[in-house]
Amino acid sequence: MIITVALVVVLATAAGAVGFGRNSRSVSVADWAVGGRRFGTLIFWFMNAGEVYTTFAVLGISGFAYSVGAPAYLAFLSVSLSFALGYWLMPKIWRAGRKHGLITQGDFFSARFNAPWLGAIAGVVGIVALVVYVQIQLVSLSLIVELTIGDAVSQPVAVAVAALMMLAFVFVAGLRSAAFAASVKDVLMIVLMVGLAVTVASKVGASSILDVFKLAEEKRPGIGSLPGIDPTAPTTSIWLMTSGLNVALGNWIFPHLFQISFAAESGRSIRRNAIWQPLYSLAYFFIILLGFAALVGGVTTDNANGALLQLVSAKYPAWAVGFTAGVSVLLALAPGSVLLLTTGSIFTRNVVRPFRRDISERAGLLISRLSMVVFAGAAVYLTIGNSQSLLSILVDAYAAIGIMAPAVFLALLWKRVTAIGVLAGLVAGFYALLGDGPSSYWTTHLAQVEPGLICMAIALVVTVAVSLVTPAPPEESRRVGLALSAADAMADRQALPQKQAAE
Amino acid sequence: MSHSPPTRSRRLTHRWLLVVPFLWQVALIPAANLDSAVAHIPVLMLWQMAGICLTTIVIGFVFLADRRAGVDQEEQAFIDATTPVSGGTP
Repeated sequence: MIITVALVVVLATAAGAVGFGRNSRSVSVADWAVGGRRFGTLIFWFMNAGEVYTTFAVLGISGFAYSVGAPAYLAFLSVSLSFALGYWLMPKIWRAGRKHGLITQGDFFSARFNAPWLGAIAGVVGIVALVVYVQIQLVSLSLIVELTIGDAVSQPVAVAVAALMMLAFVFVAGLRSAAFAASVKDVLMIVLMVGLAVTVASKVGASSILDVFKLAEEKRPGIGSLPGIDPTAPTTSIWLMTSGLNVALGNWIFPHLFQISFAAESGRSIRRNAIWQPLYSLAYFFIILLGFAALVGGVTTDNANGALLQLVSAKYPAWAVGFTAGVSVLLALAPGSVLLLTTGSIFTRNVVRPFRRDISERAGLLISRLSMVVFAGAAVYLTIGNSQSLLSILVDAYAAIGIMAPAVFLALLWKRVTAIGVLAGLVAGFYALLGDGPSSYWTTHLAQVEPGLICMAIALVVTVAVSLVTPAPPEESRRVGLALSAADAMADRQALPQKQAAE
Repeated sequence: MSHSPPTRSRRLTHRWLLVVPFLWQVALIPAANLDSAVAHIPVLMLWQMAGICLTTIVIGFVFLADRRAGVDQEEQAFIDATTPVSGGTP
């Protein structure tokens, strides 16, 4: 029963996504990777929501609420602050992409700094982070299979099949199919969360939803305020403030989210989406509630990420367990497919193209698809045997990617920033984050401060300082990040025939 | 061209309102981190949920103010100026 319901949910979505994409077969990398820059408000909304609610968001945050309590409120900051910033940032990225035909984040760096090598470095860093992120989805997927379906399916098989399905979502039609899968997944997730939230109180011996919070506070005093269940934990107000800022500033720097801006049909779609996207994050109320309910219901587990699934497996009928399993699998598959698609396009545009300028659209598309398969294989390989906590992996990935944030913001704000400056900032930031000396210094002396934010600040200072003593990029490149008004676009268009004539 | 597109720097000071969510959801965390609850829901949790609603209101307001400031027309002019001319290169 469990496996049947789960399979129906997953396979029906997969069939829908592939069918939806079949009518719009991609003929160019732009069609495939950024949906031909034609996403209106609704599909853009689902695309964004799809990337917010991953298995990490649901299993990780409910597990965090279950194991430590109040620090899970970080989820409430992540979406609204990202979009308050994104309202200003995303339309700029969109304009740069439309004006200069950019498809990936590496394209942006390459054009803005007149430095394909910098695009290649950003591309490789981005691919590594995305493969790790796909791996996180696969780790939670195997957890889902283990806790709901059990021994009927072996984990390596489940992981491999999941990776194949991620590929199937995007192989032919690219981002448009992924958008379809994301919309189905999001609707089902809300149905699941509300369904579980309204029934959970009676399952764990509480009289109402509010009573769940009361019982949780009685069982673990201090759970509802920072630092959470453990009064000596470093997760204080300072931690939440710095972590919230770090997530908001780092969010759009993730290559797949940067690239999503290119898919919008207009800045207006982006801005309108930014109004409504935060409200959707109120769904974290249900997710945190379910984490508290698992605690109240007496779930015991070594792996907090499994708390929600264990609660459902123990207290709900088989069909509900199957539905939960199916939706949870989609939470891994739909975002994972977009991550893989992004790796494929980055590899083609920023790693191969600098060496082979003459590749055709057709060949480019083929390379994108094949490299995506290879990266999926890498993620599967990394997954089998991994046991690190979901959250710590994601926070590491976030922090490492966040180091590129100063480069993106400065590229859009400051004409003096240089490619060498950006490289120096990245090196300094990575060392500050991952080097033995600095990282142990942060944990002993600044334990309450999110290290990613410190390293972002270091990268910023170094980028500015080095940029001031290195030659600025040529005017034409600076305009990629700074000349984005209609008047600029008209001026560039008028200048085009003269330039062509001169050549 | 009968009208020139509005210059962007002219009337976009209302965009600074986008800082308000950061004040509410970040700067005021120490003040909202109370060891108490309203209807059993922890105060900090309610505070952050209210912050989400506030963010939507603020962004919605900025969206309308942008429209009044002519951002939509300016953007249409940008789209027209970056649409490939048929037969030409983008």
